[in-house]
Amino acid sequence: MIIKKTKQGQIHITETIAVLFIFFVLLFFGLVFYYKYADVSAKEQLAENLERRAVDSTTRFIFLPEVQCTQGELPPFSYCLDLLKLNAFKDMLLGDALDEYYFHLFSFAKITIQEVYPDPTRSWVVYNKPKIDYSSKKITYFSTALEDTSVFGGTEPSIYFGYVAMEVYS
Amino acid sequence: MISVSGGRNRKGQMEMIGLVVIVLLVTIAFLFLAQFALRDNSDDQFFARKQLAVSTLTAISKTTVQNCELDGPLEVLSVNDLLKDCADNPEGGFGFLCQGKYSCAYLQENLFPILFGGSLDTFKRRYEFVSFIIQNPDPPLLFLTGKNGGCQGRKNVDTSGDFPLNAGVGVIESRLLICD
Repeated sequence: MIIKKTKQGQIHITETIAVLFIFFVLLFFGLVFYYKYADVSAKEQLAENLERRAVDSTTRFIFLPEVQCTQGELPPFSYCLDLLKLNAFKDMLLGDALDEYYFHLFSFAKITIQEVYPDPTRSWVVYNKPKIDYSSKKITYFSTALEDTSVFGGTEPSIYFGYVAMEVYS
Repeated sequence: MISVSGGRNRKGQMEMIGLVVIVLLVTIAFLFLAQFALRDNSDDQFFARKQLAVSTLTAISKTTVQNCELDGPLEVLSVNDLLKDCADNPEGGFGFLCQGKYSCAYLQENLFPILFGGSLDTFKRRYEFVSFIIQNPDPPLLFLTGKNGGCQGRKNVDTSGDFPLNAGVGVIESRLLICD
């Protein structure tokens, strides 16, 4: 009777050890899976935030009074950049005086205006503050009209088509 | 006898609890998997797509063109002028002549492929542009799809909204769809 009980006890112990082993294996896989999930989730969140920042910065730039097309006392044109203003703005940013102000608006970014029609070779780098040791970057594009107010009347076209490429770094 | 039966009952209960715990664990794991698989980040891209569609169509409608004539060289014409002319004179005849083509053919074959090709195709976007007269929508005046494909049967499609324009024959409506 005693021998039988001991054997039964041994079987019980082996059974318990096997169950505990399986439980810990499951727990281990669960933890690994959760870690991977949390990691991917964090990376996605980071990419999402960067994308949001890129869109915010592009919108901010397109509606910046310093570069936006105006028409007298009427409300300014949306999605239109004045090339004369743009050139002046670009030159002004070369100085360091307003660095802090525009850095507060655009942070680490590069803003390029590319003309598509009629002359696709023309482009302007308006703001260039790249982050040297960036972990990721994101480019967002918005199309825009480019108005050349130096062309007045005549047979020359004065509103061109192009886009704004906003490159942001994190 | 009673004690044996009680022991069996207890063992049965224990096994039941074990089964319930396993079912719970499996359910939680599946919920996690489902949440992971069904995560949709389309909303994050929604604003960028929408704004790109609106900005592209707004900018194109303002763009001025050269090389067009009507009984002699013309002053500056906008894309909207050409679109109106395309609706009023679809077969040409009395309309503008741009690089030897009438408005509809010039817009469809020359100008829009340059404008969309230099922007949306460069950004590797799928898109569809359509322009039609509201009173007579079939066939459309102009229809273009991107080099990367159109938006038929795609999810995550965003539209520029309707851009109406008054012409002699009625109201022209233009629309740009951008999708993933």
